[in-house]
Amino acid sequence: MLWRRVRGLFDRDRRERELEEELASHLEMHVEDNLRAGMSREEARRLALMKLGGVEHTKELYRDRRGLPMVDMLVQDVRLGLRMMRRSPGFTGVALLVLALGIGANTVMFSVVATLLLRPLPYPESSRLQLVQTVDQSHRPTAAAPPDYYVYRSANRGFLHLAAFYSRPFDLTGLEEPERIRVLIVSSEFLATLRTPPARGRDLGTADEQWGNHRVVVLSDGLWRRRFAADPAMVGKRITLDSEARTVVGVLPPRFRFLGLDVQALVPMAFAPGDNMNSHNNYFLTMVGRLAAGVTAERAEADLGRISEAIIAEHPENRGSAIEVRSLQGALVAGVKPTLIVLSATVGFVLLIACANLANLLLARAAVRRREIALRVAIGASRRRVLGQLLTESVLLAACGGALALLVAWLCLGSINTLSQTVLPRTEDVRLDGWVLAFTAAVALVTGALFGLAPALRGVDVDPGDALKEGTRTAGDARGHRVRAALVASEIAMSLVLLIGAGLMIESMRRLGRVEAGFDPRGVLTVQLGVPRRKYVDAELDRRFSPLAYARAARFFADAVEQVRVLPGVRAAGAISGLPLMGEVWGKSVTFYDRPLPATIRDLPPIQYRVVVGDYFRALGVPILAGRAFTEADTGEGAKVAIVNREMARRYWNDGDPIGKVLSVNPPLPLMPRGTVPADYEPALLTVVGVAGDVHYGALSTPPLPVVYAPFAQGSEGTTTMYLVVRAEDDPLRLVPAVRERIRQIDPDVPLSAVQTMDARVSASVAQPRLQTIVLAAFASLALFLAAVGTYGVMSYAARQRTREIGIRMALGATSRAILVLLLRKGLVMVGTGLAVGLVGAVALMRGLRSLLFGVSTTDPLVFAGITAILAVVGLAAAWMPARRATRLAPVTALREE
Amino acid sequence: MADKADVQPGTLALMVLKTLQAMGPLHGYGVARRIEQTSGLLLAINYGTLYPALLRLEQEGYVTSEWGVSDNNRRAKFYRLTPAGRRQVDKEARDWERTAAILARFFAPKASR
Repeated sequence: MLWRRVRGLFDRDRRERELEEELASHLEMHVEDNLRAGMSREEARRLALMKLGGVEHTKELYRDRRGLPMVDMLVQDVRLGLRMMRRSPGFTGVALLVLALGIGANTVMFSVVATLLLRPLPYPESSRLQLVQTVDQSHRPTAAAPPDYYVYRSANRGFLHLAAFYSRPFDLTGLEEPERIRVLIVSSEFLATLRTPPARGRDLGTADEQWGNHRVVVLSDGLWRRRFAADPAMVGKRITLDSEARTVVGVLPPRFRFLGLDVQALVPMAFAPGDNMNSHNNYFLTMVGRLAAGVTAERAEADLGRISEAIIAEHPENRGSAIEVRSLQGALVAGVKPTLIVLSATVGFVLLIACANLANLLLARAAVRRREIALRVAIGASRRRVLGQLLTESVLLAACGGALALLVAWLCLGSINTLSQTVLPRTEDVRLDGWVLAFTAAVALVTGALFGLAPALRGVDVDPGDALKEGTRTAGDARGHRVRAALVASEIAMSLVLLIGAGLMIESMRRLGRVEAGFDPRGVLTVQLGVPRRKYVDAELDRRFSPLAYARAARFFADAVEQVRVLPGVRAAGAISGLPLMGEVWGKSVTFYDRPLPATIRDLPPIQYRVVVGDYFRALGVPILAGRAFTEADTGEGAKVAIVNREMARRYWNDGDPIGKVLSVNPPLPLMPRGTVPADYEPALLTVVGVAGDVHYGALSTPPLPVVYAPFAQGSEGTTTMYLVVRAEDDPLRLVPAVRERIRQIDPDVPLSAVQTMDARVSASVAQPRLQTIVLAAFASLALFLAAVGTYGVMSYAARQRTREIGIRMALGATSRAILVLLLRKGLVMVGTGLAVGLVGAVALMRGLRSLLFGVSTTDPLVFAGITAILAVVGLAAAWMPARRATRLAPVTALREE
Repeated sequence: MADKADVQPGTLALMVLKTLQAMGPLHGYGVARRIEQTSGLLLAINYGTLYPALLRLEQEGYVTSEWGVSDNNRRAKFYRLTPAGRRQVDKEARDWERTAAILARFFAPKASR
């Protein structure tokens, strides 16, 4: 039955011919009978037709029965819709453009959000993976110490596997070009936790955690291809990492990534007996676990919490820390979530504005098409049928827009990958998949219905008799105008919200740009230099906390700085352990020897520690506000000195003069936990010799913290990675080959990496806020444009409708000023309503922006007032232009108009 | 004209089936005329409504159609009952009789009053 009807959809022409023929033969037989009954031929035919009930009507009845009427009707409507689209290319073009941009933006945003929030991480059963972190009292993540981890690993009952990891750079040498690579140091069950076995070779095992067996490495697929030419016999060969030979035991699968890091190699976590790293005082581990079957994250967290308490009872120095378990996926996107939410809301708003605009365009068209629709209703089309047809038209339009939107999205996604690697994690996974296609289709459908519904309802609300008469106005017009005015008001309201959002972001960027970074980045080259520990650090002396352990490293960095300083085109050169804007990476505590000791080690005031070589302050343009900079005399043998920053002087000396004061960045013996330090432990005492200006080491958006600078030669404190800072006379990048050559001459095994100008670093540090601002501003501008077009459209339509009235008023002596006021009143109400609603909405919604803003409140009155004024001016201008044009008409023309 | 009855919903199909059963293969016009005659010209029937009804019966598999030649040598589409159609006539006839009998009971007291 259904099958026969479906078949009825096809081979339509033959069936149509048959029907035609059948009805023709029916009529002829009837006519013949009538003739036999003595009627005239005319009469016979008329009666036969009447008895049949009309050929067309019968055909229509028959057709409804023949196919599936719904589908049949749809096909017909789509054909009609396509014809309408072709007939008004201007309208169609504008609508498609608006839709392609509106839906396209949403498609792009959805594919990003879907990747980050919905698509599982690329590990089997990844929803069971949890990031396990030690946190402090204010829930900021800290880290766990290896002995703690071993306890968690063996005592926990919530996890199938619980792995620990930390990351540090290793020098890959023994090849033509040395390279510093990012290595993840992992406990043995790391890959088992992720259920991602190596593509070649074997996984790391517990045996590899034993000191002595630990000299193995698992290469990433990328490193294996890039540096070892994808050697199929790589497993079993040896490579040199940090001057130590390690056997390659495996190669990771292609595109292995962890927490957004492009990991180059994995090495097992192992500690020599008595290694201080493996103590309860060294916190540097993060954990990742796979929940055991049937265990929730909450239960696993409670279980670990219990273990944590037990550890604290035994090791009070862990006091105040707690353990937190959260999904790995959530942890990965936590940083970008606010941005994603704001941008998703933005593109949603843009699409709504686009819908309102299209609804307006369609309403205007519906007014034009009133006669066409009235005609159809008059010849028997049901209202439902016409409504369906009008809706089909708008959905069809949206569907075409959706198809174009996919094209737009496809183009955008290509650039997203290159654009935002630094800003978004997992961009390499972003793609147009089934979910995205389904989303786009759904959005297109809903969009079409949304912007088509009001115009369609208005469209069928015609009285055929009235509408067919030329030039009549009905109450429907006024109602239509109100609908359109409401639409424009909502457009204005939404645009205002977006514009205020963009305004706040721009203001925030402006303030960020005005932040005194504390240095002069222009013409400065920065290069990361890391010396291999084996070659440059005396392990035995290091174990005894002797600064002499780093004498060789100190000599290397002093040589490197000196060699670069004498290069032609170099003004000044120095080096530091951590560059500005890299993050507050090296926290220590300070002890003042002229003050009483606090009760515990945790009560010592926190500071940031930086070691420097050469003329760092002059090279980066950091002013010395009091005292002196370091000199060549501040060597390992000289008196120990320190320079503090202004914030430190302000916070700990009440803005007084710290010069000559004595401090230490190592806790005094009485406060050190027993058994963690050698008997001859003696913290170095430093004399403050200078005060340097504040530098934003963390980020432009975070205030400078107290900093203690020390010469590398006197207090390297275990660092082997320094950043060369070179002030050039002109383009700093031109120095790169010469710098590279000089370093190679000193030691060919020391790799150069992260070669960047300081300008580029500053710019990269604000890449994310800048991107957010640009995207938001772009969408807000689009919204402003759409709102202006909408206002203009409604106002000119209103003015055109009242042309005759204006003509009469003018003929009766109304001034053009009075006419202008009359016409503008409507526009004023419309724009004013939109602005009022928008302001309320903005106050409510801008709270969502808080975490993205710097130095500007979410209700910044200047931004609110400024943006509102701009939008008011644009809206009024759009309302004024058509009104003005209407008043210029000569009364006679206006009266003749209709 | 005024005292002609409209076709009760659902009864047209039965009339068509019954006509085809009685007359054998017949074209649409013939079916229409026959129904009109059988009803004693009491039924106001739009011949046009017959064709969707025939199509429906064909879709349901109760009749088949083929082109043939009419008495006065005219090409016409002839409809014929299928075996399923024959069964359906009997069934619907029974149903109808029962319905009519039930309805008659409702009207009976009124008539005897």
